[in-house]
Amino acid sequence: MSRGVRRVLFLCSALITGVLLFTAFTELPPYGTAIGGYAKLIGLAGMPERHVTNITTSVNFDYRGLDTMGEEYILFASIAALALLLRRGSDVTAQQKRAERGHLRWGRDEALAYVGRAWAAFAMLFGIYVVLHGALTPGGGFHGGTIIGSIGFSIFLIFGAKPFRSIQSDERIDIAGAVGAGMYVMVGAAGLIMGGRFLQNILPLGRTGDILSGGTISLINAGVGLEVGSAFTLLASYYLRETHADGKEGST
Amino acid sequence: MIIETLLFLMAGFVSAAVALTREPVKQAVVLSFYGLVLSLLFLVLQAPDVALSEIVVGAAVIPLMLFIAITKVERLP
Repeated sequence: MSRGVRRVLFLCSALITGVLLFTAFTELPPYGTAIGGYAKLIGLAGMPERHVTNITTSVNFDYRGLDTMGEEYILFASIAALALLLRRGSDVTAQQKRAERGHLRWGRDEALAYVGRAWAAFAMLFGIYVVLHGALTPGGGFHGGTIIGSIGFSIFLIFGAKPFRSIQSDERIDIAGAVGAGMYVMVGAAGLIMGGRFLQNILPLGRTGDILSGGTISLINAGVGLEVGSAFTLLASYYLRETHADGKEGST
Repeated sequence: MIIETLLFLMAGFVSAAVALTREPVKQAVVLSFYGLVLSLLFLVLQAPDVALSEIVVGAAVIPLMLFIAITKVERLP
């Protein structure tokens, strides 16, 4: 199919799709309409029932905790698949390895290093804060975990490969991630053991506004934060090993 | 109302810019800026949790993964 024919075909289908989309948009409810009664109900019932002020977290980890469990395991499984795919190959010749080393080298910027040290410490503190206050303020386990995980990327970019490798060991972060992922199922199973339902909120609910309020919500938050932080750091480590930037061999 | 309209328009423009940038490395940088605009939009639409995630994932991790993939592809024989 030549280029002109393709262009005509695209324009015709774009025109039809555009007309359909436009008529659909004009029939939507006006901007800012609240849809659904469930949102109102959760907003009213979240705080008295679970003693948390972050309703999204209470829906994520308590009312629909099973769905969030599936999400966390998606992340966990994809990192495990990466670990499997990017394992070290042994059929690359030594000369090829030597030729590929030293591809990504850059000088260290002193101003960036100065700011980077302070920023990495602050970001770690902020990430832990977001994880711990999941039940109270916007954020939660997943969001704090991504903040903690992004520190690995930034330390590599600012300081180079050697400082990154010296503070990061794959095995320990693997163990941390597995502990975090397993904690979710353990808390759910504890609900079963106590004679209730899976992932039922069995711990005392505490006072609204405390850090340890919401019962199992805080515990699951910590587990999810641990797991997501370790998943992102492992992602950084695997990808950076892939580019031979740290001198070690990747999979090809 | 003004900020919402402004951010919606910016999201439209920047997404067009992402699609029209042809160089992969430049596209990754524009994608990072698009992640920032999207997270501001989510914040203004009263979804701060999503905004936090979008900042980290859309503005930091995805462009980095793109860079690494580009480096990997360029070095293949």
